[in-house]
Amino acid sequence: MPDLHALFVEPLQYQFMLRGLLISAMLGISGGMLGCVLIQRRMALMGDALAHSLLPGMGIAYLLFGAGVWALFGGALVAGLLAVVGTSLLGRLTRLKEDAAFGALFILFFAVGVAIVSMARTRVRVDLLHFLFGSILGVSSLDLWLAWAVSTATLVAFALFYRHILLETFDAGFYRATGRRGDIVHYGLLALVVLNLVAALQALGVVLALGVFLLPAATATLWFARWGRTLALSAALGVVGSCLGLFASYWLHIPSGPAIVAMLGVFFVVSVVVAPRSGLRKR
Amino acid sequence: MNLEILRYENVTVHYGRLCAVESVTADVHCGSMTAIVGPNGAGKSTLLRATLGWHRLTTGSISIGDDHVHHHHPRFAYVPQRAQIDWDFPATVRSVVEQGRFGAIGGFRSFGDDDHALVDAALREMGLAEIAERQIGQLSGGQQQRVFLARALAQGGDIFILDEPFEGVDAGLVRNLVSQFQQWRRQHRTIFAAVHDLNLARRAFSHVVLLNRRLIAWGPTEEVLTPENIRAAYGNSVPILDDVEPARA
Repeated sequence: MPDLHALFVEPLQYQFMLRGLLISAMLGISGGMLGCVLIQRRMALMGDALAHSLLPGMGIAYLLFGAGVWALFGGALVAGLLAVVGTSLLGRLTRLKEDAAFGALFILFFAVGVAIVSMARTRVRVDLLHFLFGSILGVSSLDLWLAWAVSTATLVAFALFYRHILLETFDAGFYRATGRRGDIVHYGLLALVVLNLVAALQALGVVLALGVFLLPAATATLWFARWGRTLALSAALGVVGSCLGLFASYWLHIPSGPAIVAMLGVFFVVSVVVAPRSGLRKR
Repeated sequence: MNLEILRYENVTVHYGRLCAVESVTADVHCGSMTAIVGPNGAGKSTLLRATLGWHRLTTGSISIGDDHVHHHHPRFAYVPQRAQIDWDFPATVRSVVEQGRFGAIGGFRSFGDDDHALVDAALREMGLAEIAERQIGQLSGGQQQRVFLARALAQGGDIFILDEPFEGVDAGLVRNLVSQFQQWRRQHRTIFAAVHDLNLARRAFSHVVLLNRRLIAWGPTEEVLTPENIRAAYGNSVPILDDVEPARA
């Protein structure tokens, strides 16, 4: 019988663990819900690209303003929104399809970002790994407040615009036929994705942040045939998986980002094998 | 009394530089079953979407509504192409039909008794009541098509806009669909559908708008689908010319 007290209670005496659990739980909920939307809109990889494109904004902000939370948050936010707007402009003004435009911009942004962070390193000590994979040790109380604001905003948006989001995702044409603007829903969702990614950066880093969005959502779609239940399960998985992952990172002394994503990955792989809608067992 | 529920006046639509529909002038008679017919890329879907207000018109205007007392602001019910739907989406038959009430109740108000009654009635009328809790991907092709007709019914539209409703549908179901449309017609609803099957348009529809980017002809079916007009629309690639020739005799 493992000592539950030692496993789950003792880590909580450390403030960084408490903060990490709080931020993981909050972003697990909102990320899990947004992930469902991204998956149903076939934007999973686009979300990944978006996460990578945040790096140059953080790098530039770091060079200009130092490692303050607001600077990094603002820099990443600006970079993310630029990537969204740039993609939309490329899609409209050129022959590029949206995914090609996103792919091209994101790899460009990411390369510039790595270059900028490396330049910064020659002047001050910055760890590129920290930006890429996050560090739960660095979560400040300001990070917590930001995550709280962002995840609350996401929950409120889902509550207020539930039908709008569902209908625009399921049948954009029909949504427009009811006289409403689908592009507002689309860009509103993208803005929420950018905000959640930025809020998750400190704990997870640009490369792994989207794992908290996509893995719970992909897992949940394997279980339920109803939208509301899928959203709820995805949010629940986001919370449980992130928190368990964080404990695992404490027990095994591995970085928090990979531990969380790996834990969510366990749920996903198990579900692929046993879940009713997976389709694997029918073969 | 003016009974043209849709009036197209010199309508031109561009996608970027590409002209999809050019100076179309035509009317859709209230209570008619009107088919938009033409070859691939003729602008059939574009004209439908322009009617719903999704495309900015380069020139011209579309006026909606006639002098009938209920039709000053007629409501559209839209049925998408089957191919546009993700059938894996986590949605049940009922939840899709409930979407039909979205336009009326908006994003916030909860479903009232009236709304539930309309949804139940639409499910019954389309024969879907027994399978209302199934996920839409588990239905047969005919049932899937009926889900979207039921959603349109729940909308309570005056004008049914249908994009290729017969696409990928077997012959028996085509007959069911046509008789469903005819029943709606008897209820003074207008059916306006993009149809690429010339034979079907001839057999089932009262009016035709024949299109190949430009308008070739419009009006009652037998007046529009003459061999000359069909050749003008399809050029040398008329799909069913053999079937058309005897009409001239």
